[in-house]
Amino acid sequence: MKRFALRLCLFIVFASVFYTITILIFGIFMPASLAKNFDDFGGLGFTRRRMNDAAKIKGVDVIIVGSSHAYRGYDPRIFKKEGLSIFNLGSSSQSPLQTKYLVDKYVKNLKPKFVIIDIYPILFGVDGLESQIDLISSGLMDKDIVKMSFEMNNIRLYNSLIFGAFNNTFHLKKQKKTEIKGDTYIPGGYVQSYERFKFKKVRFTQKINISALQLGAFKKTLAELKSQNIKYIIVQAPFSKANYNSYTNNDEIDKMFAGLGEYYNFNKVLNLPDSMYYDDSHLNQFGVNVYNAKLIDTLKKSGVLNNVARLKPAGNMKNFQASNNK
Amino acid sequence: MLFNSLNFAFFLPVIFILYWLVNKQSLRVQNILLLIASYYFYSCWDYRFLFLLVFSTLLDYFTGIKMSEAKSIKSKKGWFWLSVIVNLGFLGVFKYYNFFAQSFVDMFGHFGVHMQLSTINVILPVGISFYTFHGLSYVIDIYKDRIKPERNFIDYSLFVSFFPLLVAGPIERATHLLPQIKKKRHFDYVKAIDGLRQILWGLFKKVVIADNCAEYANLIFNHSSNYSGSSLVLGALLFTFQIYCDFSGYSDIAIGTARLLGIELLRNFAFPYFSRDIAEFWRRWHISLSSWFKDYLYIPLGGSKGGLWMRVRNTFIIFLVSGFWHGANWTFIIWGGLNALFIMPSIIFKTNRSNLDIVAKGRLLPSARELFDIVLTFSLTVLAWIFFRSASVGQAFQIIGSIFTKDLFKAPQASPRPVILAIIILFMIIEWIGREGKYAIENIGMKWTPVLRWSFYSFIIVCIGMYMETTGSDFIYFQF
Repeated sequence: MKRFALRLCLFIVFASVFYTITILIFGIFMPASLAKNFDDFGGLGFTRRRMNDAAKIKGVDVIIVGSSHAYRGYDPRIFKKEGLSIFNLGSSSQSPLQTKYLVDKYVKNLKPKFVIIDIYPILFGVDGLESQIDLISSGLMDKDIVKMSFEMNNIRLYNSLIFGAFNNTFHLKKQKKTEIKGDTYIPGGYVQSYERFKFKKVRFTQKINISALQLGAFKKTLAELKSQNIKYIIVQAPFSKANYNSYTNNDEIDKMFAGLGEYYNFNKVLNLPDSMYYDDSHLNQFGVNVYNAKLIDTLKKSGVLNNVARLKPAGNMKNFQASNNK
Repeated sequence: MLFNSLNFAFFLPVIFILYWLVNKQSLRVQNILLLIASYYFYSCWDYRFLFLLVFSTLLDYFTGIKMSEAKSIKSKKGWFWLSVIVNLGFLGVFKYYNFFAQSFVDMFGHFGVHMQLSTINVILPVGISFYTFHGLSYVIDIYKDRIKPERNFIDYSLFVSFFPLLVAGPIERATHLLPQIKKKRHFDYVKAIDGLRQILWGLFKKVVIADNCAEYANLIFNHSSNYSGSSLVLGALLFTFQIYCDFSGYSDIAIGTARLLGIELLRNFAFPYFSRDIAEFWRRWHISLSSWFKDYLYIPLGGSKGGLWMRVRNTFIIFLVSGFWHGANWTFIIWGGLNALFIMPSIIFKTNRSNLDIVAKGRLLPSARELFDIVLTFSLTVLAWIFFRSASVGQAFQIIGSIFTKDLFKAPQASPRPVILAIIILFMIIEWIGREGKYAIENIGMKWTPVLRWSFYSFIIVCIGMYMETTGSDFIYFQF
């Protein structure tokens, strides 16, 4: 029995080393198509750069959290014209689990007076794996992210963690150029694109499911903001009509979020043409101009931004609409 | 608790350590520990069905004793039929009631009589077909005076409920397993290592091959009307690998786990896709069920002794019953019937025992004739699996009809990524190389240096980590 236990322990050590070396080889040399459970995106949507910036900035008026809808939907230049400094903490497929992590991690540093929580309701039904991998491969590796990964318990996360740990320590590999053509990173965490919606994805009707785990994480984020006396609003940025109308329970979702705080669904406020989207889910710069102007206008009128910054008076939508017509 | 879950990864080492720690105490303590572990293992699915398992165990335990104590043949027969009827009754209610109810309604509907028979919404208790067959073999053996009844209730309960085989076999016999349960076990280093190796291979088959094949097989079979002939062929092939790797993977893990605990279970698979005819396939596929049907149905029906008509009739009966055992659906019955048809030429011409040895034994490659026979047998098997996998007989015919069109020669519309296809091919090569062992990697690397051998096992672990399907799935045979 002793011999068995000893040999087994030795084999476990041997296999662990073998496994780690293979992960490193995959991460450094192999094309992504060869590995199924190993994603080394290096942070889609400039996540790494955004998180590096977030660590350096101290103090903004507003932070924005959420999925790619967030980092593609809120232009700091537009907000700056209105006297508001913003930082965008959006990340690809960010689910409420990662939102909570990012709020916990960056709120102390960024000291926002106000938080815009952009929701893409379908992400309340996912496991949060894609976003977690995105954060890990963007260099975020701390106690909380490791703990979260173990709670999520998926081999893809473990593989990313192994490579991430070595990559962060030994700088084995430069950031991959995985950004989408036409994307430009704008300081403040925003990703600008002038691409226009070219083809329509076939959307089947589906119901948005809300996972108790994700909703629980979302409520904890709200409670955390409340405990720090940070105001927030919940916002649904517009996405294409075909996409929005494919969900059968939008009204039910609106009702649920309205019960959690001040909530605006801009899919019901704005009626933007497809030319203002860069795909069926994200606004392009033309759409962002209109959407941000409308959002700021709405916030001013509702008074939620009182005491956040010295704002210009409401009603300057025309400037943005004029710029879109150029 | 699934074999391919983290829960089992914690459960097994804990049981393994406790089991060998109490070995010094007594055999009784060891068996009690295994029984508690087995009941815990089973209750992880649904604790309510634990009562059914315990009831079935009590029934067969007492009827076994009553049969042996019966003073008249009539009394013995009475106890025997009580056990058989109650056991099959449970199986009938849980597994077949809705099928029969619906079939009656449909049948009378054809004659214009519209009946209202209510169906019941029942969950099939996991493993009911397997532990019922355990119990039945036990009472039949006592009734036929082949064995004496087991008087130690713990030992008997463990025979029925031993966790590695509880939910999907192998279907054990009292003559094989009970003596091992009653005998003191000693830790054997070589067997324990062998057990771990077989678990590793079983896990690889399940989570890498079966689950990856399942993703596309499910996609293609669930939307078969949208796919071209070539896609449907690919779907059928993927399901062929899925079901083999899923079930034989489960069996490998079960056998390996039992071996870690010093218990040898019956072999369940012997490289069936390298068979040269359908008779050989059935000697190599789900061996514990095939031999159960042979011993408890085919032979009592007269076997092959009563001339050609008797052989043909009995062969059809066991294949149809075997199909029906798999589930309450006409697709399974037709699958059984097709296999009976495929095996019929060898039954008629008495060539069903012409391929008893291992194909190309001692050689690296098969002869052209052997290869032709293997490909032909494999193709027939794939054809039969289409019925097994389809949701209805209509769908199976739709798939077969769609295969034989011009689309057959176009590129498939859906396919696993090339690296997965490469792993499937590598897997088949390893299976071929290792076909003379009890499982593929039993003897591979035995003459290599330890570092090389450990690298080979580590490579399998890497494949599991890199290519396992993370969404996971139940084992197919849990539904039976």
